[in-house]
Amino acid sequence: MRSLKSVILLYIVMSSPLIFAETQTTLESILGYRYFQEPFSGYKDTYQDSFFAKFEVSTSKKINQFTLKGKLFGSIDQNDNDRSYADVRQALASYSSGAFTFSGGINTFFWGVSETINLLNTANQSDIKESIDSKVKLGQSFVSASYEFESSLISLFYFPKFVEVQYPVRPMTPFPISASSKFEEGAGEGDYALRWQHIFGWGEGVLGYFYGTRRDPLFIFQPANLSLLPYYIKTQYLSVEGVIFMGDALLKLENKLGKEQNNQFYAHTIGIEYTIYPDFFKVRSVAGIFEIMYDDRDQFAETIGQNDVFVGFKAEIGEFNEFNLRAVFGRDLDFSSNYVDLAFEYRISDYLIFKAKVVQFINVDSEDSRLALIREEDFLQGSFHYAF
Amino acid sequence: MIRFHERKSVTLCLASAFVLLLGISSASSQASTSDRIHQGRMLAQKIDERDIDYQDFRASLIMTISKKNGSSITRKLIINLLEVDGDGDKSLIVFDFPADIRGTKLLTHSKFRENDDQWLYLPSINRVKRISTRNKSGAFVGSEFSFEDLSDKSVDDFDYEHLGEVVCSFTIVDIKTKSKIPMSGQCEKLARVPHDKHSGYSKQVLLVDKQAQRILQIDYFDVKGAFLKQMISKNFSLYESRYWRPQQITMTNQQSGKSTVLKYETLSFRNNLKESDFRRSKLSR
Repeated sequence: MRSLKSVILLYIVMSSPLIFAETQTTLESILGYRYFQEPFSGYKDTYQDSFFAKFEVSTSKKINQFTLKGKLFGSIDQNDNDRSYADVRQALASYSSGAFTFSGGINTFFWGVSETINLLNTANQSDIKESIDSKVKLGQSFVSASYEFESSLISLFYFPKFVEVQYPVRPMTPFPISASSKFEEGAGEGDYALRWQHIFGWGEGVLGYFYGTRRDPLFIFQPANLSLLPYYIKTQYLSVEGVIFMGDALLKLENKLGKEQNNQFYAHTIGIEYTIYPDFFKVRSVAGIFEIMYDDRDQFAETIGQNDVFVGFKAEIGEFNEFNLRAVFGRDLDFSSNYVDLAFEYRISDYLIFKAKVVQFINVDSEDSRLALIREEDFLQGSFHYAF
Repeated sequence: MIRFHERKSVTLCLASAFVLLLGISSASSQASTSDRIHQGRMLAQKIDERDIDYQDFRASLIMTISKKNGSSITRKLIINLLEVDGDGDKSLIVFDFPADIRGTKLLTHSKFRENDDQWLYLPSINRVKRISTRNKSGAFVGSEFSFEDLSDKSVDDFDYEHLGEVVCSFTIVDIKTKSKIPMSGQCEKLARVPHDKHSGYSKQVLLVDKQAQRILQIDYFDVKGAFLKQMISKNFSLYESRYWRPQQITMTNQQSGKSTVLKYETLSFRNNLKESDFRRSKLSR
């Protein structure tokens, strides 16, 4: 009960406009409730539902050729102490001179183009407390230099500090995840990335190279204490990503060819997005999504999918576009596992938004090692977001 | 008494005269149509020339979107425009309100002879997304303005017809004293038909003041030819001794009753914006 009080107190405090009245800061405060559909029946009793409060403060400032940016995220959870944490998503400075830009600090990068699983978004560690599909990322320290041509941008990155995955109580795996972890020789010692982006009239593309530590660990089962030990390995890959406009359709492509533990691997996501604007029954736009992802690392794949197909849609509805709906159905082609990801947003006012999310694993084959780890973690969540 | 052959010849003569008259009338009508087309294009060029050499433009504005029942929402945005020689202008729109979309940016490189390039920057996930510009008729952030209404246009993007002159009235505002001066005079009506097959309009009818080619009103007709929207510009001010801009623009949907009002809070020309300020790479910086 005290935890619930602190959730509400944090929400009230962070929602007060007086605190940041003197700055150009944006503050979003969130109050929500999460309900896991299964009372986890594994190695220990745990909670099934929980209230939570979150906040995100972001600011940016330009001073001549300098740009400063900051974003702080914090969360407090009624029943999950591991979900009570803070993370600096951004704290960076950039300096631009002519075609050169130099940056350093902490940032959250977005690499890739696909709608569902991003194979190439590997600069940051996933924040699995916020999303089990690796969409939300923890801040990552970096330095970078880039040079810009008329239609191209070449960027070189160095990521000095490796951030391990932080596992909350839920989603819970069949065996506890060990607090310690193991690294392959040379892993965790800094990463390098090179990206060459080019813009065409009909689309754009990026050629990339990454060398360093794979963000997603493998798990080593430890029979002595029946736990899973995260094992971080080295990875390197060449990548191609791009979007191509084909009439009203948008073709998306993410490809990577690499090497891990002396084995070559190949992975891709190919997708097509087609948007219509019916303006019928207040439906402003509907974008159909179809994506296929394949990763030949099978059970060592980096994401929850390894040979999956995704079908879904995104829709904007209402006279003010106040309703947003996203529904994606995923099917694993190897193991016939099926799951659904539904997200809904309703803008109540200029300041207040209601969001709901449902993740439902319809059936998961026990051989489907990635999904089987979290198959009892179906949840639904509702939250109010107040921003000013 | 007129004999038959005489009557016949008179009839023939009358018929010939009628045919001749018809021909003359038709020729005159053709000449008049081609005159109107020529006159229309000349007026479009005059409007276009009014904005030549503006270099760049920056404005902060408040967009109020209202339903027929009176409920409304507000958007605050900053618009940056850069003049490009020989091609469409570049624009960067930065959203400032509501706070949950603060920092969202829409970058457009308009192209006269091909599809525009457009990117959306989403600060919440630090993502720059290339987006399609084929949806000309889609609503801009839920407003009554479509992407097509906001994109830069070339004179060659339309066929024109001059529809005549009418008496009109409007108001000008002195930007220093803020005093309003009511004006009245002759306005020209100009119809333009877009060439773009993806346009959401079959026709637009402009009301343009004859003295300084200020666009006071545009009536938009949907692809079926029905009256769809009306844009009215109010309170014109003169900038840099040459560029007239309205302080308020209202777009009303005649079919749904919804309306969107754009009010300028600040507006300035020649801010020394650079081409590099309108690059994709700058969106996330």
